[in-house]
Amino acid sequence: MVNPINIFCDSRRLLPVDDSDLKLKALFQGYYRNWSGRDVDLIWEREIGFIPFFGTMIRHRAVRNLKDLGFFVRKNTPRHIYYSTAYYNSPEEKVMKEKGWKGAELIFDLDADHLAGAEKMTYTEILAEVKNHTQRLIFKFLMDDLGFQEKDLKIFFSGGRGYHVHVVEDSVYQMSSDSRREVANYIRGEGFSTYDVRRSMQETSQKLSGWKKTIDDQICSFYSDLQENEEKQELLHGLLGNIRTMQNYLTDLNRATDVGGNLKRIEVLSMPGFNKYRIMDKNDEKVLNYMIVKVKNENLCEIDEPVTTDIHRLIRMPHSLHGKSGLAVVPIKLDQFGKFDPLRDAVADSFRELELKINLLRNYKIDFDGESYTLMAGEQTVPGPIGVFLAAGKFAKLL
Amino acid sequence: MIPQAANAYLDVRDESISHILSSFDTKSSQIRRHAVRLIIEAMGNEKEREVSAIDDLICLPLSLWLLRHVNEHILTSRVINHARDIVEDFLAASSLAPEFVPDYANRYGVQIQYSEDDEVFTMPVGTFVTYTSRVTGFKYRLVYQNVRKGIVYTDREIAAKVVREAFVRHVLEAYESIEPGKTAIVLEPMKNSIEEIVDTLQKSGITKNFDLGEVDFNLFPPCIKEFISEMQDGVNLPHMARFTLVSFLHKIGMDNNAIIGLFKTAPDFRETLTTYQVNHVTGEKSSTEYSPPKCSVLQSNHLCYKGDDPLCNKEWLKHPLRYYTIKKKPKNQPKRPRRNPDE
Repeated sequence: MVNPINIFCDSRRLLPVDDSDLKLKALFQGYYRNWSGRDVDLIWEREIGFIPFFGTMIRHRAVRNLKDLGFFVRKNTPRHIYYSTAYYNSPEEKVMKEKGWKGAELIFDLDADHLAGAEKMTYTEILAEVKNHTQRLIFKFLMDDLGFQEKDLKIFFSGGRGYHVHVVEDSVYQMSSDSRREVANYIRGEGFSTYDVRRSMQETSQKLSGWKKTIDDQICSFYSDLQENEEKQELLHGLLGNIRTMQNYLTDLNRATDVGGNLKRIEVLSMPGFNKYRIMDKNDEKVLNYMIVKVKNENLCEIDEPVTTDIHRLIRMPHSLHGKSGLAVVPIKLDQFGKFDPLRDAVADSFRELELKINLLRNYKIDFDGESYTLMAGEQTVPGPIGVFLAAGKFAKLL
Repeated sequence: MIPQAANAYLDVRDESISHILSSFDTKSSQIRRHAVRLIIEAMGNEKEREVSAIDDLICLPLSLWLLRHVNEHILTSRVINHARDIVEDFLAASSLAPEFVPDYANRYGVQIQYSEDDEVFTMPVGTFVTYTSRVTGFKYRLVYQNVRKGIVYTDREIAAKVVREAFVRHVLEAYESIEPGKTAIVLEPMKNSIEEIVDTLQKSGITKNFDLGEVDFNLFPPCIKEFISEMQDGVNLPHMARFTLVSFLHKIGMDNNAIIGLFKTAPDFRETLTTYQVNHVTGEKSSTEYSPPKCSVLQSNHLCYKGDDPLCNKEWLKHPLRYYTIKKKPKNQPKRPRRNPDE
């Protein structure tokens, strides 16, 4: 089946102004009528950029205060609007060097683009999976490991297919792009090799924490009941290649080592800490390699690395509308994050008062704003929020 | 014991330098001598160096003035690297009690703590990533650290490296703060020493340009260009960068002697060692002919400099050699003007 969205986007001719887009723009105008900028500090030090309804990205704009930002938004009615995560002396300058960079928030962008298998998921499933990653980012990585506190974090639904987390704490503003990459790599579990993990574990004499502890826990758990657990032996068989090697390996686990008064290999391997890495042989390394990959896949957080490392990034303006969904970029309190439902909590109130006539281009099914919709292609009248959502996403034309 | 001179290493005020130059006391005379020796010795490769102790670095401010006057980037880098290594060796040596390391770190604005009970050094994650992000090697990656609640728990080697990097930043700031227009007047009493430095520099050959022979530098990926230009600036390249450079140049057909020649400007160049290592990587003296690492490996070791390069940013471009192969294709080469058939 030909995707109508691609036909719409693929034309190289200058497209005539789409009537549906004009109507969508009028709806956005309505939303922005009483809009005021919020949840952005020092707005006069930020670069503003936006994509109008008809035209391409316009950058290097600046405003004097949040009131001016409101005027700016009403005057331009953007399809998408962004602000810089960086603070500048002269945000309106067109050349980056002349803007006078003063510092930047540390940003994490979590989006469906980076999820494995996202192409087979529904929009609702994608949002749920990205939310899991965001939860892990906030509670495990940013708070538990990196020590940031609730007051240091600003969390937003992106209005599209994910979340933005801004770290606003003194130690991050001056971080270079390289330092930010280091943080991004930590969160993505990037850069492990079996050889280096083993070396690093051997050299450490401290209490393990961070990724190394997660890997060590996984290995201990694997060896703790390996000799009785058939499922684990099946896995081991796969790792070592043949049954004979595996049997020899299992027998050899009872061999005494020179660790802790001649402990058996199995005892050392299942004991938390660095000793096991000193006695590992090639077959143990195969297990280690498997566990590293497993730990990484189960614990990493899929953030968009170039966003985190870019110290001049533009990011969506809080409380603005996303032009491809009509959903708002809303802030989320930490204690509310678990309950947050983007398809209900990011719906603009002003659209709820409307009914819209649309021509749906294909059948569409979604749970949206508290309703379950199973819509058939063709002309129909729908509640405002779903009408805006379908028109912005090019699934329907506003009539 | 922490040398009292630690803060004096960065005192580059005009009046402090003028005082050293106009005083007749033994201490000032030794500082003047050491300031010149520090620079001269950074150009050579001798193991025995007169200026090698942390206390000797009290001469560094005067050396920085001399370097600002000579204005040869490669020489400045070498001297700062040399001073940096003295600081690191001092902090890592067992002769210094570990509890003094934080004291020293604080002088360069680095928050490091030492716990005697656990024999562990701690620092905030922000401090760690600020100073280690340009240091290569798995040991300095955050993923390999013991991290809890915003604190990195680490060992002395890493703590010393962090302070070393902070020291370099402060030294560079001090160097930049010296007004180039003033150096000739302030350093007038050192005229002869400046001549000696310039003369040694010219004879050393460290400012020589590279000879790449038949190989075309313009076709290199940004990482390789960066490694070469850093070497030209006298920066000590990390191990993986050197390995990448050697294996890359070998794979594109550069002769081993030419590759060895490239490393002659490296601050720590030793011909026999370099020859051995180049021959090892290229398979001349070993059973393996190594290939340069993939882009992903370079990226996670902070050795990727792709920036906005359109070819590097293609999703399918995963190896520096592929970059060169594509650029080398005739259709990607700049076109030569066609010869008129009547000519």
